[in-house]
Amino acid sequence: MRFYLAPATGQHDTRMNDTSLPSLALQDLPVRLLIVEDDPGMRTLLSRTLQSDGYRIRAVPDARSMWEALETEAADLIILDVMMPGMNGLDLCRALRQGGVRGNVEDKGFSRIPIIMVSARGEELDRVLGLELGADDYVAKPFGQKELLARVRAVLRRGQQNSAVAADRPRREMITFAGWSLDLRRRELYDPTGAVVEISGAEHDLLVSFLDNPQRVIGRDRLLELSRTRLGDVSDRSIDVLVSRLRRKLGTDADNLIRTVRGQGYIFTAPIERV
Amino acid sequence: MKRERRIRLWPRGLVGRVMLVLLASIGLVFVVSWTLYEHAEAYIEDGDRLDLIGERLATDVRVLDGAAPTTRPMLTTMLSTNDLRMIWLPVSAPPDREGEPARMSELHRQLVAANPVLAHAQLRLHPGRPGKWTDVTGTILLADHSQIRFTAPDILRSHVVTRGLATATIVSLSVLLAAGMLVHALSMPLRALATVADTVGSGEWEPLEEKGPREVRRLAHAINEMQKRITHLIEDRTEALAAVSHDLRTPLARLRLRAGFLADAESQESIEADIDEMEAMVGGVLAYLSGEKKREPSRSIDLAAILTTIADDAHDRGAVVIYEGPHRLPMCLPPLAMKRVFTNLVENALHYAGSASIRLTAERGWVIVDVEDEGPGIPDLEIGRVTTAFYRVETSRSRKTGGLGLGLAIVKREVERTGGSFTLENRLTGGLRARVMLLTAV
Repeated sequence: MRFYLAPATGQHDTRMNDTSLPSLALQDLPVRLLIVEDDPGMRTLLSRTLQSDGYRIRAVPDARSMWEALETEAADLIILDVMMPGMNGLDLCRALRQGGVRGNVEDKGFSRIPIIMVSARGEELDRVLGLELGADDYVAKPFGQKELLARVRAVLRRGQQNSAVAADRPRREMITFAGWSLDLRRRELYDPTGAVVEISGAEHDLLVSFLDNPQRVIGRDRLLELSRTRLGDVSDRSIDVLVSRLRRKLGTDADNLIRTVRGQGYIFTAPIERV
Repeated sequence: MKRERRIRLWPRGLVGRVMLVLLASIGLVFVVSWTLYEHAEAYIEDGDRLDLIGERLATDVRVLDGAAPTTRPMLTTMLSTNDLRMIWLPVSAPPDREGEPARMSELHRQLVAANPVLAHAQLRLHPGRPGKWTDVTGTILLADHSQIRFTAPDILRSHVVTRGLATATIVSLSVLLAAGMLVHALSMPLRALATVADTVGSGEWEPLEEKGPREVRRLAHAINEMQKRITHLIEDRTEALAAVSHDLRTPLARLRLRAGFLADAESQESIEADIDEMEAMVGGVLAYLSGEKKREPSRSIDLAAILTTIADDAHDRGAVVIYEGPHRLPMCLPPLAMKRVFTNLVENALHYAGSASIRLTAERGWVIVDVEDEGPGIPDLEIGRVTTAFYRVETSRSRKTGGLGLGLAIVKREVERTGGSFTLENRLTGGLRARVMLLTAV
């Protein structure tokens, strides 16, 4: 599991990828959040909210101070406002994913820091654009404390999973199976004819959990664990509901694609390919 | 400098052009009818009867030439039959000055060929007077220049007459057609103008081509200028409204975060509810405005998946939304717009009725989505107006979460943009039915 990123000294390999560490270790090392937000009121409120949940907070007003802050000490998650004077959040996100500004602040580790975009532009297109540029989540203003905290937790948890599965997996991904394909960045599912099939966040996460463990029996408990990044409170029962919804969307052959293993859970039968 | 004024064949003004069309039509009628009437041959079906008449005329000429002028009136009366009536006119009578029409020339030739004597007698033939179209009349000169006027009744075949009528009809119709086409061409720019004027304000406007007669050109120019001003005006207002709406979101976000720190759970809850309402309004305005500016491109999407996702989502929030229809239905549509359309309809139903049912059916080129509820419906008088932006049913304005009245306006606009149609009706069993009809092949 990853708890912190290497400081900007070039030693990226000190990241801890040991999956056997118990998850309570999370509490031992406070997670370091960096807030980039130009509105002073919002900055204070974001800091207060996240501080009360036990995170270590640094808050900066613009792009320059963000790079400075990152050079001083790494961050485990960046909360980035989109609308900022000067270099806006989308540009910053792109720069972070490319590993900083060439010749100025450069660190390959930047490209792996989870990013949550915060924006007053809540339109779907802006959300997709933010995710395409490599943000891990996109929260539209006005959001409440609960929503913010849930998103932060989910992104941190996802970060752990991803680094556990494959740390160096490229950010933009496409997984294909049985003619279907899933765009992980845009969170879009395409059927064999190329039509976009609408799936909810929970269905997406469930499908990703299946695709991460193809042709292996996954118990309901494990699925619950894997999908909890999004669903507030999931029960055994709602995993079944989610699976049936997903099957319905995957069409006539879906019962074979996701097969029920009596008394154990589910198995995703098709071979997958990452593009 | 002297400005050269040329006489133009094609007048600049509308009046001149219409006059020219009229003139051309009249001229055309004149030329065509003259040509047709002059060259249409008279035609006789009963050849035997013609021969008989020719022979009789030849004999009568010879008889009357030999008779004394005093006996001639009596003789002509005696020689007259029902088939050939004759009158003798003395030398003092006015000569037949009327020329022989060209259409009688064939008849003339036949008669003269059979009876050469008639050639010397200066035979002249005329068609019958009005009302007696089938008669042939004529004059023959005797040696002493007295005349015989004769009438052979009912000898021209009637279809000669109908042929005359037919040609008249054809002439008038073709002239009418030509004139119609010309006037149609003249009014083309006017109709183009009307089409463009219809789209004014709908956000999809292309400048009008300034061509055609002077009056129309000026009108087109005026409309183009007006449209430019209107577009600017709308854009300015739209941008201002969008900017305000966007800017509202940051203070709203601060308010919501701040509310999270309130110890008093009750006021926290009511502040949350107020923020929800404001957020819905801001979101509605932005959704409406963003669609106004740019159109989302269509792509292949699964319509059934969108509907089931909306239904499942509502279900997860504790509402009852039933979906009936196929599991999958790929169509080519703008995905976000369609998501918004059906979310709005379902939210509307949930808001007024607390539950909704979505039914998806496909039939002959159309895909029909019905969103039905068992709420109070909409008063019949209002049903046509609820799709107008910012219009709200009177009873909903006072309601706590009435919104801004944009949801259905967005639905109507987006559905009609895809070439589909959106209708609302009160169900007989109570409640409202919102029907979206989408073209299968766009």
